[in-house]
Amino acid sequence: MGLEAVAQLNPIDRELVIWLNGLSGNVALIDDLARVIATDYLMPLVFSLSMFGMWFAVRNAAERAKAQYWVLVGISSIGLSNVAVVILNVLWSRTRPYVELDEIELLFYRATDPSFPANPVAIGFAAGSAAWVVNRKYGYWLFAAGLVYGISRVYAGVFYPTDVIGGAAVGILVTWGTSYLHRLFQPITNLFIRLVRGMALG
Amino acid sequence: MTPDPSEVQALFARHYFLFAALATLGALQIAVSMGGFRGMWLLPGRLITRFAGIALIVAGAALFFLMPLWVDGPWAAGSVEADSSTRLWGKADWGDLGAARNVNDIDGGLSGTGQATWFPLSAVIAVVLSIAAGTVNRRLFPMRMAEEAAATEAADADIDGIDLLVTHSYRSALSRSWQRFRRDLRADAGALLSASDRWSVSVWAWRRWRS
Repeated sequence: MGLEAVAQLNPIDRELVIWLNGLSGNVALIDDLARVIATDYLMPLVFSLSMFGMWFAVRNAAERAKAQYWVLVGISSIGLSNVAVVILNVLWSRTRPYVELDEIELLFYRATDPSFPANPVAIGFAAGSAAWVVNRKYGYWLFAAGLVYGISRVYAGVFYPTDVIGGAAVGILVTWGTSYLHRLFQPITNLFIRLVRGMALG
Repeated sequence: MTPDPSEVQALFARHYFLFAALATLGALQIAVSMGGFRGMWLLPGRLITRFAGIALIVAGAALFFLMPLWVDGPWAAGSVEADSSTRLWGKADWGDLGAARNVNDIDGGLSGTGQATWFPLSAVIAVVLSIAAGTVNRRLFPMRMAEEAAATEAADADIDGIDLLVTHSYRSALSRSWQRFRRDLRADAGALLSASDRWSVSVWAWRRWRS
């Protein structure tokens, strides 16, 4: 039902991706910047670094314990977001915009997996949601990074805007679900944090 | 000559690892300078450590994305198009640089799983390097008097873990933290267990085992 609703948005989706991708080819520097941001390596590393840094950055011990708990939730959410995306890919194998639309000028490689939901955006929003619980401002920065990543891929012609929205929703929902999953396995998570503290790294 | 995907993958893995190692070291330096954990600082001052962290991240990214200019790979000038399966082996020129790294994992690009393998390894290396640098720093640049006083205070205070790195070397912090961890493990585990949700699997298993 939900996926059909997304399909209903197709005309708007198509117009938006054609418009945004149509802006490419005018300024080479912007195209190159979009290609670099859209790459598989830069933003995923930023999201991983955000979780890694969050482990160490807090001075206050009680706040740090909370931050470290949410780092573990965030890392698990990133993994589970990938699983959620694969399941949704099976339910709805949406064709990529550059395959469906002749107007698209592809700036990225020809991805072979389905378009909905945007996997990289799901990962960004999973990390962002975990960070948001600890520090709102930090979380918003990561959400913005996830959004820029998604927009760069729409600009490159590999995602529809609804793929990006879907990816963001998957990331947030999976993190919310993962926080409950972690509570189910308590106190293992907190014992792990205690162990790392025993190694003078937590 | 069309590149062999396994050769491309090995090249990408090496380059990504270098990028991740520099970036994780940089992120760690920014984080420990924010936390004040001097026992892991690369350099003696807080601000200079933070700038070094930023420089390491920028250097890692610059190196990764500029390397196609001087290293042979699946980005030979003129062959870099959207489709990564028709690339040729060679050096890129400035015009190809933006797209040079956009290679599908079926054509040899590094997959998410590959990145998930290399990233933790680079994180471990960053932590080890930071501990080593922090130890050398403490020997080369002895702490100021106020910090010495704080260190003495910390020796008696009820702190352990990474908090000790504010005033202690990693070695002494590890020794104290590990002793406390072993001493308090039973009590800590019991406290954490009783603080867990009633529907926690661990609590359920614990109750079943006791009954």
